[in-house]
Amino acid sequence: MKVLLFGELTDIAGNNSIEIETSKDVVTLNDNILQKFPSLQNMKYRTAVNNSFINSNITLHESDVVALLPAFAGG
Amino acid sequence: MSGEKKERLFFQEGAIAPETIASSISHHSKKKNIGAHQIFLGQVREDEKNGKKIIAIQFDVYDEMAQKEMEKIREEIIVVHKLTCAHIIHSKGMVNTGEICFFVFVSSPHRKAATDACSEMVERIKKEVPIFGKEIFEDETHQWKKNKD
Repeated sequence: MKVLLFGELTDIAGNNSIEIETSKDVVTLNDNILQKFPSLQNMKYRTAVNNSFINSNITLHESDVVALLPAFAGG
Repeated sequence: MSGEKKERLFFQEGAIAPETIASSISHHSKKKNIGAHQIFLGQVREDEKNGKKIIAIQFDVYDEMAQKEMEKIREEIIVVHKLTCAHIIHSKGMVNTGEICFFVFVSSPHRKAATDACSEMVERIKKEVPIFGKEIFEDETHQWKKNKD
């Protein structure tokens, strides 16, 4: 599944999205992401699924839109 | 409610022209119940970091989520402060130092509601809307903008 990246995470991955094997839930997805991009380990970010931040380990589906979001900096 | 709700545009490509702000003000002359406007304008500052000057910020926006969050913040603040209206524009893409990148304009019958609402709207947008800023230095290197509290 496609995972969208923003802010400084795009510098780390060298792209604004990454392709990760479809994972059953958010924790598994995060493990898979860190395995493929270990440098993200040191980064602070929150995960959004379908445009909302998630507060628990929800189940994922192929069609879900996942985004990793570092601190916002608008204004 | 019937029909599709018109989607507001909260983002525009590049800097916000002073003429856009002037014309937005003049559009309000027809709304005779307004007694107070409050406007916030964010301008790209020429900060210096490690001896290098910032020449521009490139704003990157997570469009779908940002649209949703902007709608939510705007609607909540209109209700709480009983505003007559509220307008928000934030830049996307490249904005040079000295140019306007953020425009918040709220109106109400009396000044306190307008003042409080504008300040609250600015703070919430900075915290809750997925906008990222790449600070571009004069030597073409960059770093990512971090908002202070």
